[in-house]
Amino acid sequence: MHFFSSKFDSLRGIHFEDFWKIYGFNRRVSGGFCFIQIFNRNGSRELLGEAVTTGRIALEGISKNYADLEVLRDLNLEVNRGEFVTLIGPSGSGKSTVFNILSGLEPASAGTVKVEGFGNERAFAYMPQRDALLPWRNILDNVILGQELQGVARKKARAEALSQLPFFGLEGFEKNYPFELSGGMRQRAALLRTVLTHCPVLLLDEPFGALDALTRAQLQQWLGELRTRLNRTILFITHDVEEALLLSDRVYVLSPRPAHVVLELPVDLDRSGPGELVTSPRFVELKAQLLAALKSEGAL
Amino acid sequence: MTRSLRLARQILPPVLLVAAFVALWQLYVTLSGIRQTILPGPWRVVEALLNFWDVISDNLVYTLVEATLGFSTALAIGFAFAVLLDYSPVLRRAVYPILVASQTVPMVAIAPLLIIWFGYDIVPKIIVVWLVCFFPIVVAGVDGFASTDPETTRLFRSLQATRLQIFWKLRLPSALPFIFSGIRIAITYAIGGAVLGEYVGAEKGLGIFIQRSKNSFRNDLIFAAVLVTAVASIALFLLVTIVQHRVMPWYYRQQAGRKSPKKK
Repeated sequence: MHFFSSKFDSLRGIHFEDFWKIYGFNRRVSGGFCFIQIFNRNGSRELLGEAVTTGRIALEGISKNYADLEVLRDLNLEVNRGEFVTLIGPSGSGKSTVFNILSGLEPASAGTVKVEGFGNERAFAYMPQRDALLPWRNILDNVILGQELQGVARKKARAEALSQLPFFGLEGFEKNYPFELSGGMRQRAALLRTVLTHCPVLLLDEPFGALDALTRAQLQQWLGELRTRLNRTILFITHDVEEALLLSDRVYVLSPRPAHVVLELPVDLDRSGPGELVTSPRFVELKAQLLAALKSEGAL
Repeated sequence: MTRSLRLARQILPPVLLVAAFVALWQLYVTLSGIRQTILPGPWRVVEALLNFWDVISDNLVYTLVEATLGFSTALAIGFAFAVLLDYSPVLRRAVYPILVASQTVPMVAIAPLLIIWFGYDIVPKIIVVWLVCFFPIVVAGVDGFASTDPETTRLFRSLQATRLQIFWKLRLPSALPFIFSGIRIAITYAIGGAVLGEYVGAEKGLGIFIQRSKNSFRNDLIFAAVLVTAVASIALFLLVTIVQHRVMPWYYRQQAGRKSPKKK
């Protein structure tokens, strides 16, 4: 992260937890960069400066075939560091295949994946559609799985996980087994497991797909808060047009198989503004554009 | 519901059923006037058991040792086999049909052969027990490993887990409920297998005791030995269940949670 303002020299040495209490954050995507605006929390909301995150992921001309089945055809998409990008498209259109290629589970048949500016670290953490929590582990030991597999000492990983439980609404449930939790809590636990891998890019494959409408709405709002706090790049798959608009900086509409990009739609909504977002004219306008794109591809 | 009440609800039905059966049996023997050398009543069986307890318990120890040794080797080798078959699909396709076919060979045909090959001592009995226990353990193991959730496996792979990590932290725990089912089946066969092995020729053990009792027309002693065999098998079965509770507490909590409504 590169800070633009010298005011941030004083930030060095501040404990991470305190950081979030003292400063507020807002995100702004412009010209392919994701800016993070930082302001004081104490009433004045004085803008202290902006930080820009550099780095990007680019899929260039990606194709994927399974024997005779063509799943992806010449797919191009780009994600800037810090962005929240959603892939939306009909079922079976190969959205999950994109995630598999990114997380290295399977190779692309053609095309290149460029990952720039993420250092040598492992970039992608994948969260499957179902929570995939291990029934024989309590919540605490489930969420540290990623670190444990990387060889981090369990004790250290547990301590860090415990400090994150409150924000994920799982405080007091660390000793419970997954089946003792509600569907929404299990999804939050699965998301915490993904976050704790410390990978800069989160691949979320329809994380709220199996939840009831009310829980889903709650988790959408919660994820919106979480993403500013996390400062991670998020790639998101959903079938839900409103969900896509509520959460994303940019939306890609994919065609049915073989999938390619039909529409790239920047979501320029003012989320901090007053009033209900989903009824705002701009929201309705964007929603119509997305639905039209899906309809033109025969997805609706 | 309190713990003791739940326990009572579990234990009471089988106890009542057995008691009713024993009562009917005694009633039949008393009323029909059938000769007790043909069909001894339950009371006569208990008498015989008490009178011959020294001999029977001596033989029981022998049978138990054979059963335990045979079962342990079957568990160790069966588990190793299951891991191997899980690791190699080619091997699984090759070996699985042979395993199934091997189960169709009647044990009464094999047991005498084993005596001819290995003599009258403990070895052929251990082999018989091994043969009856091996199959359920291997099959349960292979099915258990195969039951691993593919999506969770993908998650592990995306977290760059090694093959060994996937085995220890995912496949083995996924297979445990299956493996324990196999073990419970195997352990109930173990003592029966040992008795069968002894029956065709042995110096000691409940099997040869049953044969000698038959030859001297002591049907009451046959029933007494059968009773001891059954009780020993049930005891071993319960022992396995206790171990399973210790190893997989989550599994039983999950089962209990499914039956009763959620508290939280």
